[in-house]
Amino acid sequence: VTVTAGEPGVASPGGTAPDDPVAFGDWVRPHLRTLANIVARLAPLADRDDVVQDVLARAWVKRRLFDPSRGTPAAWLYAIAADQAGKARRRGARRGLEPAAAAVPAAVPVEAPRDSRLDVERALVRLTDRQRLAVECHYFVGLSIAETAAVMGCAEGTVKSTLADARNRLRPMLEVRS
Amino acid sequence: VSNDERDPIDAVLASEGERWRSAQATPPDPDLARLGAASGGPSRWTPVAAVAAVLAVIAAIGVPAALNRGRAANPGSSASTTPARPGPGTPVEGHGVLYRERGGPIRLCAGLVSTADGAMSGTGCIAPEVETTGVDPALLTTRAGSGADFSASVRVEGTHHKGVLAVTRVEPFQGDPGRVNSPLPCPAPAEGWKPGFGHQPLTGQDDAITQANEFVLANPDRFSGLWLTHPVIIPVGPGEPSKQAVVVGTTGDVDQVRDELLFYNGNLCVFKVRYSKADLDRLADQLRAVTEIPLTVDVDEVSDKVRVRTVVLDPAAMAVLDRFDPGALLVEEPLLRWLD
Repeated sequence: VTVTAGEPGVASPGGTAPDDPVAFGDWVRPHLRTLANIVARLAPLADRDDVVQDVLARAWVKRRLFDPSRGTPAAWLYAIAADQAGKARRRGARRGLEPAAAAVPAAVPVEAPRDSRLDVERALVRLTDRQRLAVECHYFVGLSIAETAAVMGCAEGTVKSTLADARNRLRPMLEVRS
Repeated sequence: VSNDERDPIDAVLASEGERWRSAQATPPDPDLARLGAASGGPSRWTPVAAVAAVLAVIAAIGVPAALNRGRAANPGSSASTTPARPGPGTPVEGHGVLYRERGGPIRLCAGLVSTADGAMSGTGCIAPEVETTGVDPALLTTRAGSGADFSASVRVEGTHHKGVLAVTRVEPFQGDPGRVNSPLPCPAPAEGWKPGFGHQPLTGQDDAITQANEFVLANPDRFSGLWLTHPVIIPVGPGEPSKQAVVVGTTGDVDQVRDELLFYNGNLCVFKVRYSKADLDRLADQLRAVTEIPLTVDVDEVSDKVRVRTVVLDPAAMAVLDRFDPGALLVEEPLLRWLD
């Protein structure tokens, strides 16, 4: 089968990323929700949907670099999403914004009921960048250990140990006793 | 989610994560037109970098410049000197953007995230805001991706009572767009600033800036931050001549930092600051713990202070702010100011 770049309706051979925009759209569509969740967690002040489209555009430009023998399309797309979200977050940081802290209400009224969501969000700010990345990807985005490892560019064992360290650091802040 | 089922923290995180995911909106379908536009690959980098640079500068310099103009008109804007004349019927004025999220009231926001072409990002208000009454919804002429409706920049007059602004007058706000010379804290080098977004060739400079930014972020006890600025004029498009500089504030040795950042060969300004990012973060955390008054708190690396904004600078707000180191606070104009 001869595949011509840009030819409509041509399926991707051997699991490579399609060269046709419509087919490419179909190829990435099953992963859209997870991509959006990655962006929302890693760049909370950015325009989620805009960054997701940036991710897709980036993946489209780099589509011929995708090697199915080195990982799944999902893991490849998630890594691009994490990279683009990081860039969006750093652009916010250069503008003097505090993504992690600003995503949490600045002040909670005294009479407000205790909110476990706020407790967790505030506690996450205290993690190291790597610990937070692991927690965000694994617990909030819902990635598997293997997918989190692909995003973080490390071994699965490293992800497990990073998550264990993060949980230990969160324990006193979340007032949960083992 | 995790293999370690016995850890209660694991259960808390898994539960919170599941709850968070279930609350997320469905993302839009892939924008095929945007894919087509990205087909050129690296050629797209330049406008993206240019817009990012413009955004960074407008946010870092244009907004403070606008606020400084406000201070010039009303010099008593610090917490210790502002004459507070609160009262339910006292006329007030404010500048900002009117917006309304789906089904909600129209609110006046002092600062919305916007792109270089003025489009709203849809992330909502990131500055003090107040609910309003008496605003004609027809003024909200821009629809954001989030579904919220926005007005152009406006100046409003009205009365503020119990957290609601009763608007009596709305007019366009003709502010300076922020195309001003930046307050670069370094003298120009003998050979002058190099032209371009950083330095020609463009390729690779974005990575070098990112690397420098990560280095600075990794050492919050040594640096106040890193930002981009333009010593001559802020460009409004990638084709406009510009001279971008990377600025780094350090509490340590300036020459040593310059040596550490040698991998970036564009315009570089390293200068001495009083407070490190870690110092400012600690202070910001203390301010965020304030519950008596509504505060917007963020670390402003450009001024090496913690930027604080509130709705009104009344005696209660001033009493709270007086508890903190005034040298590290940048108390901005409140959203609402008393009218003479």
